[in-house]
Amino acid sequence: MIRRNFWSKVILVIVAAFYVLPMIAMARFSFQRVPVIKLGWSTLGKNWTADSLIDAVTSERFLQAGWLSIRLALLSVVLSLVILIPTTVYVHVMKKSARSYVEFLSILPYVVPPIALVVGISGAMKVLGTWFLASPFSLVPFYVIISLPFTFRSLDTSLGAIDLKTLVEASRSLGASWMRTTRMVILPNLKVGIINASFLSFATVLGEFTIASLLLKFTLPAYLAESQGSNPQGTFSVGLLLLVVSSLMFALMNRLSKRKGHALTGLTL
Amino acid sequence: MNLTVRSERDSLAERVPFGVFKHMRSWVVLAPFMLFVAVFLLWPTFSVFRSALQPVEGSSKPAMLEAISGQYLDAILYSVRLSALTAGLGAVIGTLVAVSAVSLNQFKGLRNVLVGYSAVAANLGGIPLAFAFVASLGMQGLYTKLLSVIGINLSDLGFKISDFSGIVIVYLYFQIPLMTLVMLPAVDGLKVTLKEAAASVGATPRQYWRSIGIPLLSPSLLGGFLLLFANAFSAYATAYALSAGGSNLVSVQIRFYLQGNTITGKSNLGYALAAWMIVVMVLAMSGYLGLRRRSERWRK
Amino acid sequence: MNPQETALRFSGVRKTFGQVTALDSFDLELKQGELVTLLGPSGCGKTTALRIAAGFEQPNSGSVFVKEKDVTALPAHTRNMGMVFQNYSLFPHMSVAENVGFGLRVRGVDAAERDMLVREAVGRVQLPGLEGRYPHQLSGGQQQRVALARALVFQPEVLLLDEPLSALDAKVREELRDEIRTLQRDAGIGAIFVTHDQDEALNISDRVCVMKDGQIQQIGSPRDIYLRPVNGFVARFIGAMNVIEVQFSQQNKPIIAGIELDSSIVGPVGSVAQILVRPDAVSLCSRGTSGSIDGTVVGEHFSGATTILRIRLDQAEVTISAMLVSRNVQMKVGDGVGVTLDPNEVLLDSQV
Repeated sequence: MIRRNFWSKVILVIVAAFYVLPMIAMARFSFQRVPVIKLGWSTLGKNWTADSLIDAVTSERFLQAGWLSIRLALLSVVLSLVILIPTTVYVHVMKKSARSYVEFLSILPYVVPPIALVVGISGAMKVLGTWFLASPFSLVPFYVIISLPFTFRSLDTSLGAIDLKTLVEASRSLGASWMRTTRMVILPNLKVGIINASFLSFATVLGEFTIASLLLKFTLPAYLAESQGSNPQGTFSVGLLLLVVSSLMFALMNRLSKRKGHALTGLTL
Repeated sequence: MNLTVRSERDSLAERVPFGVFKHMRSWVVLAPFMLFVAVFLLWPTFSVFRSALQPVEGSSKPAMLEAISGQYLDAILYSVRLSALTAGLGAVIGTLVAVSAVSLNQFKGLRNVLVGYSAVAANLGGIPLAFAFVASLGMQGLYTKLLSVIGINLSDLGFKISDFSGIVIVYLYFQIPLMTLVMLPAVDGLKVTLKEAAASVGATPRQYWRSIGIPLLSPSLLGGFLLLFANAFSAYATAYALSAGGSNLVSVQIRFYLQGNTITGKSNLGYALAAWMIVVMVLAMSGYLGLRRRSERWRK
Repeated sequence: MNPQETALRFSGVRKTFGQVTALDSFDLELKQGELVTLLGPSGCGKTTALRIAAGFEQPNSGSVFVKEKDVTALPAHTRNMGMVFQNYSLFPHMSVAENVGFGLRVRGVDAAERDMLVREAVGRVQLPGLEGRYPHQLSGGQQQRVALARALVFQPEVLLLDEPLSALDAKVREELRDEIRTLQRDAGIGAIFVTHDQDEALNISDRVCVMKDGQIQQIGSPRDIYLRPVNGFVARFIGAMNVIEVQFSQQNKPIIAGIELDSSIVGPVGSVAQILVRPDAVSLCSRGTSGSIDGTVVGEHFSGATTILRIRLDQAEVTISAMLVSRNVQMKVGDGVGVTLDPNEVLLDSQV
């Protein structure tokens, strides 16, 4: 037993190191103006500066890409919620039998890798005319699709945590109007799901590269790919910033949903 | 005061006045969702397969068959090898992490931290992750330098972060937490009482593992492997960033065909490769889902 | 198997968990074919004792003997005991037949014989034909029967049951309780049964061992435990008890509401104490009968065969319960009655 505990700790420590070390290296590279070759004990503490990050985030290209990414993320979140909230509420309150069909549709995006999807998009959308794909906002519906498994699951789980149908029936039989029932019974239970879905969707969009790059849209990840050569330190520091922001978002979401007793399992279905 | 209560059906009728059949009326609410998925997911997918089944210029075979021959097959096999290897390694290490966490369950909070962290790390990927590893083990990497100080020279050993082995290491970063998330509930399912029950009928610890422990874990182990395989197979951004677009992976190669860097007649091959990717994903994901259902049945 | 032979013996077993003493100097002898129940509230040590017998815990001191062989140091899987758990613990990926046959398989019994023994065992627990089913397809009661079959099929030396009925519905519980008893008797096997439910204990056991805080309070037949509890804890834990405050008279006898009780209880003149008497030892007659205590009926609780009448004594601050056969009840709420306590059934309370 004691021997098992020892090895367990060893494994966890090694794995933890594997996770932390690359981030440290990334931070060092971004924030220390000392080339690796010259790095030694004497130079370890020198020349740490946040300049590279500051320069990068104030640059024209970053602001352009960042602004686009944020807008895309917000629009994707809104569109996801607009489509999914009525749908999930409906299958939980009215027609539970339809739920498995909707669930099946929601996990379909898993089997179509983003790269395959974008290949299909270019082919299919030609019919619509080039105006559709020319706009950067054409990414939004596809972003909604690729976050569909997560967003549906978030809303579905939060609605499924309690027997919503019975609550709604109780509310209605007590005389509450639909508006009231929605406000006082349905929405509070949806709150956690909405938060989860929004965060997941937002983080996914911020980090999405495949579709954006192949459809030639200039989002944050595309910016990263572009400036990698010309400004490595700045680009890496922005990358680190993105990682930190995403991680914080996930962590925050985890914390918020734990209060209601959901465990976030992200990709696991 | 009017205390009449309106029935569900009535109010639905108020909101959706058209539709003759009640059955059809209910599906109307779901129409926007289904339509959305049809247009933005099913239609592009259909288009992929339609082009993939058409012949490539200069041949009578459908592109999909052409795609699995010769040099194109190399890309597919390369991706399969990479995905299988990272899935296998990720499965083993992820399981070890899960088992370790469960056996240390006296440290309350460790489990929660692990789940929370894994949920985050499993979703990290793409370009920033590639950057982090370039900064660690690339030519100018921090740990490349550290290792050379203690005598291990990575470039002499032929290691490059953009090569197969480099990509494997990077992929493990999100594969391991994903497996951990899959295995934690499975390991939990191996309740202590099962071990005691086995001992009470006379099974030695080894017999317990052989007849009960491993069989109970296998669906999750195999399912997790398939999930990781699918995850690696469909990845694009990370490999792209590590290899600056030059990787042999199928996902990166598709881009090659699509950007028209080659003779235009061959563009159907890009579709074909995409179609094969989808086929592989369907197989892997159905396997995962089937296995997951079985292990959940036991865990109830 | 010789009925007089000892199947299992605890000798001076002591177990602590950190600061807590779970078992203190536990001595118990289980005879072949006997069913002894360990009964007590949570934390009394009954489950710890069972787990030590099974080999899942090691005692700090003391020994466990199976047929006079010291097994204290032996690992659990070598002890040849059958065990039934509260939550069934069936192997979820194995069918009923595989579950039941597992113990035979690890003992090297060949497939043909295994098949026969499994079929027989499954038949004995009233589940013929279900050999191919899986645990998740069975009800709680069925699963527990499979667990029983699994525990008995390889003819263990002793049968250990850890609250096997606690997770089941009331009706199923009763059925299964009787079946466990029958199976155990037919097999002639010694069994230790752990429960916190005293009805179960009284119903099913040859002897009951009442425990509290790691110590044995009383070991005896169910009748002894019920009718002759040795201390206040056992008296209160088993069945219901009336608690009446009394004062001792000049003759050192207890007085209730002015009536002196002619029992064997004595105490210092003038001092106050509490006595205990079972509701079924309380009789009712008309108000004013000599020797009876006057009271008024203030409550009635009908339970089918029996009825409990709550009677408030006129001259004492106490309401007592009297249990009567429903058919014989003639009083109703509000009536005056005379209460007599059977002097042979009155106990002096001593809190442990």
